[in-house]
Amino acid sequence: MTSSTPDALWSAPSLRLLRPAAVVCTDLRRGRDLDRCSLSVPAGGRLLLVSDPDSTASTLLRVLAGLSRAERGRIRIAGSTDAGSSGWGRRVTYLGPHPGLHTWMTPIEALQLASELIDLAPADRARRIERAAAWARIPPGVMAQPMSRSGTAIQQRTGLAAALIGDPEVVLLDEPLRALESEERRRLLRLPGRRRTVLLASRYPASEVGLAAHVVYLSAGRVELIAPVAELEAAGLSLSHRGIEALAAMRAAGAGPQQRAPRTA
Amino acid sequence: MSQAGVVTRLAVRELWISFRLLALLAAYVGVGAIIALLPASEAATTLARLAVGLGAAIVVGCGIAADALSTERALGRAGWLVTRSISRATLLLGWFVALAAVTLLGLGAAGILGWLAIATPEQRLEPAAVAAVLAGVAAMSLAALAVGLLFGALLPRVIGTVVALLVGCLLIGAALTVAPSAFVPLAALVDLGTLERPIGDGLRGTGVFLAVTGASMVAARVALGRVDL
Repeated sequence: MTSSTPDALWSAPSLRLLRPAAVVCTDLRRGRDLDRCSLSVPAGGRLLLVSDPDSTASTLLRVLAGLSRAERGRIRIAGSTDAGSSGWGRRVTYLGPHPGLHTWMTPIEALQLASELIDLAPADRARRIERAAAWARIPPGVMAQPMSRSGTAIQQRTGLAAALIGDPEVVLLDEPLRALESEERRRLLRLPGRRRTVLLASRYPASEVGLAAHVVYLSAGRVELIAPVAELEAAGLSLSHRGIEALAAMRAAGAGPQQRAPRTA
Repeated sequence: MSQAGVVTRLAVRELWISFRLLALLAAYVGVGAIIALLPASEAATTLARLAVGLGAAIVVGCGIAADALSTERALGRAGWLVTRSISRATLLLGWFVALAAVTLLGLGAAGILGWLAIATPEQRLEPAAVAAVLAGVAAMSLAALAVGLLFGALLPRVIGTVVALLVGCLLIGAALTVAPSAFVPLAALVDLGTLERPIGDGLRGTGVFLAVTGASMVAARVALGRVDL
């Protein structure tokens, strides 16, 4: 270990062996989107998921979040295969392109509901709500105003704050916060927490620079490439669909056929 | 509060905000009010009108249930709850309880208004018999809600609502025209003045339709478990 930065720490060969997997999926199948898709993400990993077709990455996250059902395959998150509240249900959160909140609610109501659903102690609730709202920069003036009047950006900020209120270990982000200005979006998506695992599906990888340490490329329903973002830069390629495809092609040419066992970031 | 309680409270608020609660209440209370206001020469006419009106309200409930659940799915709200570790069964149960509470409230009001219209000095109906048959009608209403939730879980919003309304119309039409009053409380309500054992028929109908409600809820749970949220 030559550096104390999280990525370098997690990449240290000795720790790599001990590093627990936060998300493991094996041989997932679902329609045309997932075909024997296997992936293993270590705790604290920050992955950018890019796919061809674009829907594959979203489908993978939706399957991991329990919103869509896989036809086959196994999922283990945070060491558990139980998706219920006694398993990994409360340790994982998902935020999609649409927050899915009732827009007649005020942000404060939505955050209270989110904290109530995960059984936070009343004393802890107010503190966490305040902290999440401040971090998501929800203006105090709109906290008591229905979100339908405050606009999409406030809904998306509230959605993110509600997702993080339970301090989840695994965060699944599917094209989130697109209504926000790009710098502010990037700030919000640099989620705090060194042990927090983040999977970010994006159709516009160029807009996600600095948000992930590794990039995962899914093609024809399975993982085609897992590479550090730095490898793209080293190869003179940009963080774009074309650059990622080119790196996958280079790897395939150099390393032969891809394996089908769970691929580890 | 339990997770089911939170979902129920949320569902009631959503029903209120979307005017579905008012529509459902108005359907039942409106039936009772119309029956009470319309003059009828004999109680049998009033009972037939009440049965037809309640049948229409039951169909409305079926459509509203389908519309409410399919809208929750389409707008990602059901998914938001599921990603907050609410199980799909809890989600379904919460919505059923919310819809059932509103329905039973409306049916109670309609029943009282209907009773006032029927209870003339010439013809006195046994209150227990009326209550037993209305309990059966309540069970039919719950079954219709469960069937509506089944279609709401399975089908897209507009299609689900239309199919629920059509199926509701067919079933209620059949219940009023060809079904035996011993098993179908709406038919028993029409024949209430001539039934030999109205309480027994009412309770039997209640049991039959509570079983239908249970079966439909199980089917809706299976359907909701398989769809994307």
